[in-house]
Amino acid sequence: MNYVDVKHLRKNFGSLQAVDDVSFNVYKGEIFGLLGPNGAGKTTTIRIMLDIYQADAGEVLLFDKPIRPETRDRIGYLPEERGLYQDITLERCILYLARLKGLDKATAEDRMNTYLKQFDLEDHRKKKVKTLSKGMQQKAQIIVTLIHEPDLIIIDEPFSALDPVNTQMVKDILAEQRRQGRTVIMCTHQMHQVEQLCDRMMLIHNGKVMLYGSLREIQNQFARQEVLVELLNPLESTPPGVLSITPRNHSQLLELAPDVAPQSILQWLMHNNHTVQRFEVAAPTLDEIFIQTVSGTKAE
Amino acid sequence: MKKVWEIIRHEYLTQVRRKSFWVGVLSIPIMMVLAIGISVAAMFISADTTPVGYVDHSGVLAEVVYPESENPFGQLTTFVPFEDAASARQAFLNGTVQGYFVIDENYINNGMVEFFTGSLSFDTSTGDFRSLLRFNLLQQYPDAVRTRVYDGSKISIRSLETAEELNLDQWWNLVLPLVFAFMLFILVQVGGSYILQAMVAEKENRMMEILITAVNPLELMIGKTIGNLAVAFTMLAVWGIFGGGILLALPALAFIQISINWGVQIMTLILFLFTLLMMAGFMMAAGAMSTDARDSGQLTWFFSLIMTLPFILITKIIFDPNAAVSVFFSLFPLTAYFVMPIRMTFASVPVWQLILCVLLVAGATVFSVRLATVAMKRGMLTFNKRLKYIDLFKSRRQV
Repeated sequence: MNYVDVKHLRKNFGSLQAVDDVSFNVYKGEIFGLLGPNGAGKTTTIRIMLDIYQADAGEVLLFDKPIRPETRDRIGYLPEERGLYQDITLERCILYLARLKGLDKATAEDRMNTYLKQFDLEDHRKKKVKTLSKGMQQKAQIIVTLIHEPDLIIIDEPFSALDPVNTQMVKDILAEQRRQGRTVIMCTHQMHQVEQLCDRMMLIHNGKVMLYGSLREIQNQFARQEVLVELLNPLESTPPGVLSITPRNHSQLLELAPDVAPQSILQWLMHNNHTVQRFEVAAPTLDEIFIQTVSGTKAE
Repeated sequence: MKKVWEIIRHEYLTQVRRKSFWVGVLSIPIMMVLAIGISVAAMFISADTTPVGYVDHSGVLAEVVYPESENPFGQLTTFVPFEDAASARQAFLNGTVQGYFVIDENYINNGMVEFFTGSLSFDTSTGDFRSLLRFNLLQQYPDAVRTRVYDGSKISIRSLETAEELNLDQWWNLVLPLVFAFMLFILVQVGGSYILQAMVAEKENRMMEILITAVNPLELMIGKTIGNLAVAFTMLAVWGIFGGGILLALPALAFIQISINWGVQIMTLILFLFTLLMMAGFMMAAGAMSTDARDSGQLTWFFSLIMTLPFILITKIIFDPNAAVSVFFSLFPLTAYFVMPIRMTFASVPVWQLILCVLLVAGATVFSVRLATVAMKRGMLTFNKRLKYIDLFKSRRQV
């Protein structure tokens, strides 16, 4: 089931084409990565999805319907421009925003208490928000995003300002949200987080969709004809079909001819009595894919 | 509706929980009470209770009768008669009197009285002596005549066109609409400034993107308007308690019988409610368009200036309620709530002007609410950048 259907979205700001024929779906219960460099059109796309901006063309369906007032309470949104009321206490701030998301007082208090303990903010609940550190405020913002248990969570750079411990905690929470059947759209520049968390992703650049699909599909799309091997003894001869051998730390990177399958190299090594300690098809990292895609567009 | 209530509650509590709010609210009545208290105390402390002499060459005070004092704090001056000016002067030199009046022998015709004292200054004893003379001059007339002279005539003005009535002697019924209008002015101004502050705070706290994905702009506007006006009402209520306490303490006001002109009150209420919403709309639009509190102040000076103009022209409006300038400000949407009720109190206002006034104010209110909604959607997402006026009038797709 699709929770988000975006079809042929277009949006111009004057002469700037911010979003250009963007289409994608987000399935129920997945973590979807929305990637792109600064100014790519990610935030504009999200704002159109949330009816903050109106599209010039295209259609957005959330939960199979155009966004309506009652849909708002099913969405948890942590925007790029982070905000909290600075002059009131943390608990007042969280409770107020939870109530605006339709929670009754008792439920809001109950959930807030649970989250404050989970995020290690229990001792800071009576403090004014402005006295909290940036990381603490970030955690409070995540609480506000999740407290009404939304079906769709849209979260922009969830890990900025968090230390490694809290980053892991937020990752665990997002993974837990997915396990509970909730859908997460995550905008981030941290590609390794996308690799670890996301089921599918879309890379947007200059308002256009550059890559879209599951991580495996995209990585396969960018897979090189290379294998990484680590042997107990060094290679005495070049296996057939290998164009070059490059040492890399304790391994060797073998560049294969276009029509050579990695399996044939493994078979050759075993046939020649090499002790194989590591054999890996060299898939590109998302960082590499990102840079390759974005810089490739720039070069064009 | 639950969300609107939450916004009202949040806005109200955020303001009234601030120490600065209570310092601001309490400082004005406390300063007024202190000023009045110090003035009264100074009057008593500096009052010279030494008797004042008089020499009556006219015989008006031959069988002197002392009136009840008109001074709410009691008779301050005691008068002592002298046979002639020389003995009075001697008493002054001895310090037994602080001065002495000499009533001319032809006083009935020329009203001449001389007061001899140490240094020239305004003195409460002259007023008391004037009352003493008037009271004794009227002793020979019946009570009814004396009362009439003291109380004056009750002149009522009746309109041959509208059957309306204006009682000039019941001054309080003329002053009260002015006081009420002034209170409304404070409410609109203070409420508007709180709304502006609240909007700027949303922008400075970067909360708007979260808020407009939780509530719609109209809910936000209604909540903020009511919440911040409740703050202004609280302020007025505190001032009212202080002011009411002082007024009730004045025995001179016990005789007042307030008569309410319901036509004026209903019109005031209609215009007031529209104006509140209109001001809220304009202040919200200004808050959403500006980058910070200072910037918002620059955007709203125009409203403050326009709304203050009727105060400058209030004498003209009261004494010439149907002059062109009075009519203009009673129809102009930003000042109508203040000027129209005053005009209605002091003159007959044609029905067409009343209808036009309500229509103009209602139209301006709808315009301001629409403007605020657009400004919120467009301005609240632009941080550190002021929204241009022209952006408010572009179609949604163009922004």
